Amino acid sequence: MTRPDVVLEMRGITKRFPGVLANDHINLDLRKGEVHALLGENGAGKSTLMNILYGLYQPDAGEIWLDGRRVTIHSPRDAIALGIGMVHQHFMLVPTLTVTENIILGLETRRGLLLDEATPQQRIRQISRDFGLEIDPEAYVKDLPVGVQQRVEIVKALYRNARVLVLDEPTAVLTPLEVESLFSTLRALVKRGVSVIFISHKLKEVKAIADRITVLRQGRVVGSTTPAEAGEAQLASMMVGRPVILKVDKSPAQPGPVVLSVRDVKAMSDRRAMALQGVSFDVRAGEIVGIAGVEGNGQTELVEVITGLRQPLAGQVLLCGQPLPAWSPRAAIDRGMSHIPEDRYKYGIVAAYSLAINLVLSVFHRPPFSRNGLLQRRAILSNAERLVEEFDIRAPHAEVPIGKLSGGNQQKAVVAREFSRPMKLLVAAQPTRGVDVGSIEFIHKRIVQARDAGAAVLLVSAELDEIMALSDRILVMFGGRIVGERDGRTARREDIGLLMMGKV
Amino acid sequence: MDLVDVLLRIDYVFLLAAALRAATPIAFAALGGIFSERAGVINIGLEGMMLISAYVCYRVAVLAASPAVGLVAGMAAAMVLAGLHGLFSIRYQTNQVVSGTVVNIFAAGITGFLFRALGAQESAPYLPNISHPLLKSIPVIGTLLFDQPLLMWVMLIVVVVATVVLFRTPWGLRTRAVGELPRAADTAGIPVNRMRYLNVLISGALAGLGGAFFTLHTVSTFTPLMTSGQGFIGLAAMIFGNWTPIPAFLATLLFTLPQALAGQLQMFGVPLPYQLLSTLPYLLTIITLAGVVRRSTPPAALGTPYVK
Amino acid sequence: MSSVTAQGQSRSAAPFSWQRVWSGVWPAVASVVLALVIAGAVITITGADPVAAYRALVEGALLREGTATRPTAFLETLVSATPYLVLALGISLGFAAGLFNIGAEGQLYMGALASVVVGFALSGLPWIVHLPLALVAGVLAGALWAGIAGWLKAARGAPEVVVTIMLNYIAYAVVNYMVNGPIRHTGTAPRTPDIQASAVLPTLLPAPERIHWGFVLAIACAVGYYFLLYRSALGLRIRLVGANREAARYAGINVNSTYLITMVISGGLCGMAGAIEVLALYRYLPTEFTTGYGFESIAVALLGQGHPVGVALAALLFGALANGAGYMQFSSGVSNYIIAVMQAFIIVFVAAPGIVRDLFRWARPKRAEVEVE
Repeated sequence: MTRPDVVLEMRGITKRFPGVLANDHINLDLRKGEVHALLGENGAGKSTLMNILYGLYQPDAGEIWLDGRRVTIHSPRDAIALGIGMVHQHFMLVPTLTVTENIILGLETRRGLLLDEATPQQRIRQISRDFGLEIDPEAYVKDLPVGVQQRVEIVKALYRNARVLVLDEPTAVLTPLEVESLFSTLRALVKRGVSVIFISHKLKEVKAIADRITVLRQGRVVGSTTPAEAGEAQLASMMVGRPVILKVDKSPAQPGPVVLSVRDVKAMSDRRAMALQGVSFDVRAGEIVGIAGVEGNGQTELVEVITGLRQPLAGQVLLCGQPLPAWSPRAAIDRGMSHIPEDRYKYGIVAAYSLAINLVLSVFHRPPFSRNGLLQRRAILSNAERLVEEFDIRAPHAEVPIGKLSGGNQQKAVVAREFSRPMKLLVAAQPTRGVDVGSIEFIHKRIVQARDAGAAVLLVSAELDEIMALSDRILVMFGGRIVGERDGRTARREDIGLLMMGKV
Repeated sequence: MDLVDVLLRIDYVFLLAAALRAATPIAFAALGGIFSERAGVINIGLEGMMLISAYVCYRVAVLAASPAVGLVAGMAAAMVLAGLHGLFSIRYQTNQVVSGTVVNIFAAGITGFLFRALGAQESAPYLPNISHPLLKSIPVIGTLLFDQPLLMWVMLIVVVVATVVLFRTPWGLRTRAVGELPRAADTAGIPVNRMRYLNVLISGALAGLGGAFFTLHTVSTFTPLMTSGQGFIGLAAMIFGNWTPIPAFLATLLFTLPQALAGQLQMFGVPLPYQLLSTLPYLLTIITLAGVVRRSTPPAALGTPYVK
Repeated sequence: MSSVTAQGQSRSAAPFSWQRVWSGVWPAVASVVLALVIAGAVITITGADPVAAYRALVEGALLREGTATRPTAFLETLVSATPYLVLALGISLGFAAGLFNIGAEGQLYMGALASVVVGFALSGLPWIVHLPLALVAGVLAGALWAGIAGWLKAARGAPEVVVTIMLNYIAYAVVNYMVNGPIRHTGTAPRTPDIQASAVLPTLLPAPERIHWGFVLAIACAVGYYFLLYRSALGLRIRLVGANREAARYAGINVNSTYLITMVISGGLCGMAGAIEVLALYRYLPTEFTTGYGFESIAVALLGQGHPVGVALAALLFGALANGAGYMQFSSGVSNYIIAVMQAFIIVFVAAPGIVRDLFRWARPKRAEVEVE
């Protein structure tokens, strides 16, 4: 029944979560030595499917066949034993352990009662040489750049003799050049008989690397194709279910006076490393300044310093010429700063509380939402009604816990809240992370509108495409510094990519 | 002048020996805390685990006329409470501080009831001191080590063993991985929750040893709430020692040395109100925590239940 | 956007549902029932009759009428419930902000100490001045004592759990020292002098009833707690910090000052509980004057699930247990310390509602088998 060159087959996989049918009778087959791309937007069910393959979830229905045998995978341990390896979107590496310790975790060799690290290190070096994946087995993971961490993840899978390698959104954290190097690694793996499932929502990359493409939408397979057969526009409409405008519509910027001025800011990271080594730039009213860069190069700390969440070691942040007191988010908010935080679930919303409360999170202590220290429920609800309407937030009612809404609607609520205050400066960090295409389009449109209404916008994003599409000016961060500036209209991808790697 | 004179006359070796003895239950609590918390489970229930062990040790040692049997029973009782804490924290995902508090209240309630219902008149048989007539006479070391309670020796050995286990064995590697990034451990095929249960049980066993110290070494009877916060002081030592056995052990001396000194001063007639002196370890704990917490790094997944 | 709107209700408001109320309440009820069953088993093991014991417990807590020398049982239960209520409100407020004030006992001691000192040391004041002064002294002392932990948490990140416990032991020692030394009265037992009549918190009914104005104050505290936590901006701030500290910080809420404020109010309530106990009942300060009210109140707070009505009901239950236990021991011979066992199991089940659910799940198939036979 199975073709001889098919390594893996998933048949009729169904997985239901409370309120969502994440996988609906999905069929997928993987041939020996191919790169099979799984394409779909956020929430399409790609990660669920792969977590089922890796034994992290159990399917409600469906079968998995490996080398013509039906298998059940109860746990990652089973998956590993069957030769399935996975590189997760968020790396599964313990920062406080060394590369070797991370790789051998769960497969430790002993010398007597004690841990033996020497023998595994030899094998790690061997794999490293064989596949051209350069890593230092004795380094601590926390000291490694993300690109290297990804190599560690791949070595970890190969150390476990993976024949099927799943990569979940592997390019999200890489610069364009690193993507190239990942692709050549994948080609080398495939040549040696490893089969690869490549999960992505990025059309260009899928077209560049895949032998075959399967598109998922809302938990279902909507079609299978090859890069030769399908164009980008066609893939995009398969993925989203309707034609997608891949470009953001905006007129040229009309920069006004300087709103935000960052002056020689230095700051430490949570791990007490120098994260910002003297950063200076301005953002003017009516322009969008995008900060490009691989995550972990100081963008998070920069945003936190500007918004008053992190105490800088040195330097100043000026809003409309006035210095902002360090370490006071309240002062920043009161002076007209809006902030879309990078991790919505952690920083943007209080999941257990109602949509209505989340929409007044930063202003509930002020009239009309409080009078004489008492909350005014009616004002809070009518504010919610207005914003739900204006920002097209889909919710049964305003007192539903916001955690029950979809990611896109949560993010729209954050945007609504931040846009509902008088806004001189918008700091948008990863504003469209983990949301559906419809919400992405909506949020992009609102950001451009804010600019046109005279706000200064600082956009921080790890998605180079988002930066390229929205920014009037692009600053590139590397190693805690601004290493280059380009005009948004004339910037070239390759050029920005080089800057992101610190190659000026 | 007077005080200087007294300070010169104090036998500091004797003082250190007393501090070491007093540090024993605190160090057991700290070590227990380290195993549990390195695996990601906050354990403020150590106090209650020590208390129930102290009671059961006493009761069983009297009944069996054997301190060893009492010790085993006490450890088992503490491990039952630890299992309860594990069940709450791991399976039912109760807030771990709440769960630990519940363990403490539970232990106080049950031991209080049993103590009043059954009384505690008889003396329990003591565990022996490790004493050697020859070694004892070695200067300094003899006093420090060779006429000391058995459980103090056990504690010193556990400090070393715990260091090796945590940092040099597969078990330790897995434990640390589970406490730092449980998902990574899971994807590497390690049963996260089982590791957590086992480490919480280890922490209960160690707390049990600490509890035994009260009834089988210090006094041979039980009084309600006799552990008097030493489990919590152990937690402070654990934090001070950055969740590492040897520094945590050294930190326990920080809490017991000043009180040993104060005791000596009193013996030499320096007038100090004893009620206020008894607050010394508690004050030191607060001061230490205030000074050190911001500089310590707890395991990253501490307090977070693992949900797939 | 397809909500069916009840009349007169804003279309954006959540529909009220009894089901939601019940789902919040039933674990607490089930916990109490289970704990009573377990304690009943313990009573049976000790050779007594649990039914008789429980009947005596209810009688002693609620039903016995007063005589010329004995106060009415139900009113005595209210007297016992008063400190539980005030303390558990304080502890619950801490929970709301994600703080674990397990130092309620120490704050109660410090509050009692301050109230007694003001109560006996000042003389010649009219009661309208003296009594409030003595009360406020207790509240402030408790607030200050908890404030130390709050400040250390806010400024230095010190875990309030350990710090408040340490402060308990220090408070015991301070009270012990004061009562044995500086403020010891001249009699044989170590205790302070009696407070002035002008500082006494009076009873509501003539003797032998002991129900006092402190009970009224406690009810007022519960109402105040409701308005503070659920209706005021400060309360929302406290709850948001408890629900997601980081998001609150991002929204401009000063988390550290919220911690400090919450601890101060929480400690103030615990201090008030101490003040009420000494000003209404003891009227002096002995060395050890409570039997773990501060800790049992943690159980009350957990059982009450943070809501003032729940806390009040839980306090009533604990007050009834404490009050009925004596008569139970007298009439059925079961040790009154059995209530410690009940309390212990109540919080075990309350802390993990999942346990209760699983217990019932196990029980169900068995019951079905019985029915088949």
